[in-house]
Amino acid sequence: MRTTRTSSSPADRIRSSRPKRHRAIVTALLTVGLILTAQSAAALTGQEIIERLDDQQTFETSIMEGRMIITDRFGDRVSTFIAHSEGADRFLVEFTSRDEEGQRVLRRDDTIYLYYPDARETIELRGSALRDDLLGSDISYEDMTGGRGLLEDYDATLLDEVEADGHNTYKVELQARTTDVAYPKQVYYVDTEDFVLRKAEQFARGGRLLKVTEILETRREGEYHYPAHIRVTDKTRGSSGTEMILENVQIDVSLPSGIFSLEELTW
Amino acid sequence: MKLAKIALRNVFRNRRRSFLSMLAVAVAAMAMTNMFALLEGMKEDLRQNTWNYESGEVRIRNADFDRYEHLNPVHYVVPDYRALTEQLAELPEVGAISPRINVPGMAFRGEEQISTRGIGVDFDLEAEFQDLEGLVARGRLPRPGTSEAVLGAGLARELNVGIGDAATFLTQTRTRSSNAFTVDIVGIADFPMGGLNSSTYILPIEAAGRYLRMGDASSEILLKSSRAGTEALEQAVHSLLGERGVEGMAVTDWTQVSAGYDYLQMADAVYNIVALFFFVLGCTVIINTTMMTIHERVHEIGTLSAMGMRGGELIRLFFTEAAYLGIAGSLLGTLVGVAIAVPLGAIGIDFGGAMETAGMDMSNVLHPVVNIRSTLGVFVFSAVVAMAASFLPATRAARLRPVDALRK
Repeated sequence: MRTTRTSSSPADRIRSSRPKRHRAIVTALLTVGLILTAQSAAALTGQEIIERLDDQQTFETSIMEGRMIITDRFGDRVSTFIAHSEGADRFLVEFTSRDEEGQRVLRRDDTIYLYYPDARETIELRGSALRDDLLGSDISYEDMTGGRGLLEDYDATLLDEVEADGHNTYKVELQARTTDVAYPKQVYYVDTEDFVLRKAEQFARGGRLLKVTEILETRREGEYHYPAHIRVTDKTRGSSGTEMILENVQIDVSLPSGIFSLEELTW
Repeated sequence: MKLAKIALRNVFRNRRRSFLSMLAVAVAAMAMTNMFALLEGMKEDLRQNTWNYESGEVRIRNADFDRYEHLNPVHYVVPDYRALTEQLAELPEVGAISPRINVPGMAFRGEEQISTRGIGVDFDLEAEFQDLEGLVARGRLPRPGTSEAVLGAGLARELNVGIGDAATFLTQTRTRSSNAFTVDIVGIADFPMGGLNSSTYILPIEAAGRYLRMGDASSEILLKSSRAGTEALEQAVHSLLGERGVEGMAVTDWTQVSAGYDYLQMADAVYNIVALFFFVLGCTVIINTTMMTIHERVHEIGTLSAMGMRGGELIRLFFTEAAYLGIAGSLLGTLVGVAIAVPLGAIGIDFGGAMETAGMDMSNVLHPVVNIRSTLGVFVFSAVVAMAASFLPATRAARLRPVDALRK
């Protein structure tokens, strides 16, 4: 009776064991990778969270059409607008509603220029004037037109992970490094999954709550995820708030040349 | 008659003392005459300023505007103001009428924001309402229908602009939106109040209406009465609004609007107390003089008593002497007071910026006004108080027994 040896040579054993070892190494690497990824996400600093938020919301260029609903004790009124932006420092809003038709607000770096069809010269706003309300709304010129990145003016500290309006969020405190800002302290609630802002609170130096910004709806556009329906309530005025709704947004589109120039503003 | 002669002789017996007594009364009377003239001037000034720049003698405004005035509710208006103005002008109680559109807002100079107040007026009607032409220090008044404006001298200085320049103002519209507009400066006005000078400009009502999207509405209609008086005017306006079925309007007389009016009412009472205080001071001099007189004339009193003059007659004697001094002193004081107040009324007293900080609608230059009633009041009051002051020492003198008096 012939017996068949099924034993293999050491080389064969080595050969046959290679795929298993590869799998083990890959599995180990993936596990380490996953652990590292998880650890790096958990270890995000306040600054990193705000950086990712800024990335989500700062477009190379954009054209947005929307409307603003201003509610106060005398009722509601609606203003429609079309806004153009380039990076974080250039922003142009033109109002298209009947009452404000032709009025434009241009932000270039740290200066805001207001153009009104009845005026023969533009109004230049700087410093504290940037904090004046826009069309009597709860939104200031500075709020509306954005401006340089948050981290240029604020130190960000991650306080906690909390639930805000049904979303898991990072609660990040922003303390101003300079007195030249509208809000000495802000608290941002940034979504832990997609780094979109869900809520923000703005405070005065003494800790008094000035404004609350609630994000009622967000929208995805390519790699961007941005707030599309916002309600800002100025707590110092006892108003019912101002809602801003973005209805048509085009991101990374080419803009007419010179659109952010002063010549174009008055043209 | 005899007593009057004796009293007159006694007054002239010690002229220096009598003169000092009379002077004390005169100084008090003069001070009070001037104080009341100044108060009267302040009242008149406040009235004129309130009528011309704030509320008219009677004001028609949307009742809800008054309610939310602190929120600057431009949208609460007087509708169809032109037709209403025409009908109001026909009322016999109406002397002058001024529909206005107020333009709250601000101007910018660099990073600085300057609060401004534009007043859109109908220049034809305004000419009857107040002397706007007289306020223009340089240049001219704007032409109706243009985008021209007259700026207060202080505002022009703040904005660093002059005649021929343009100024841009940011304001709020009737639709509660914002708007900015540019005006051509054709004149510089010298408003009587510093507060107005540094913030106010006047422009045609049509331009103001266009910039504020007012349509056919105005912010308010100010009225001055003919000779009918404030109350009759107010009633007539109420009746007309009722007949026309215009609802939601507030018709207010100026005393309810002017913050300074209440202050002056209070000042009136305070000044009366101050007047009394002055006279009490003056009276101490008279009492002192009369007592000294009595002390020096004890022998004489004894002699008079011995000759049969009774206590009552002695009181009347000293009383008459005090009356001579009091009447002469108050007459002198009042006349000197009037003599000072009248030219001051013509020239005016410049209080500079002091009136701006008082928070009242009062001019920097005040013109004292001599009011006949208050001046006569000061004269009579001074004389009476001086006479009354002599009563106590005169009574003491009358109580002296002739024997005791002659021994002293």
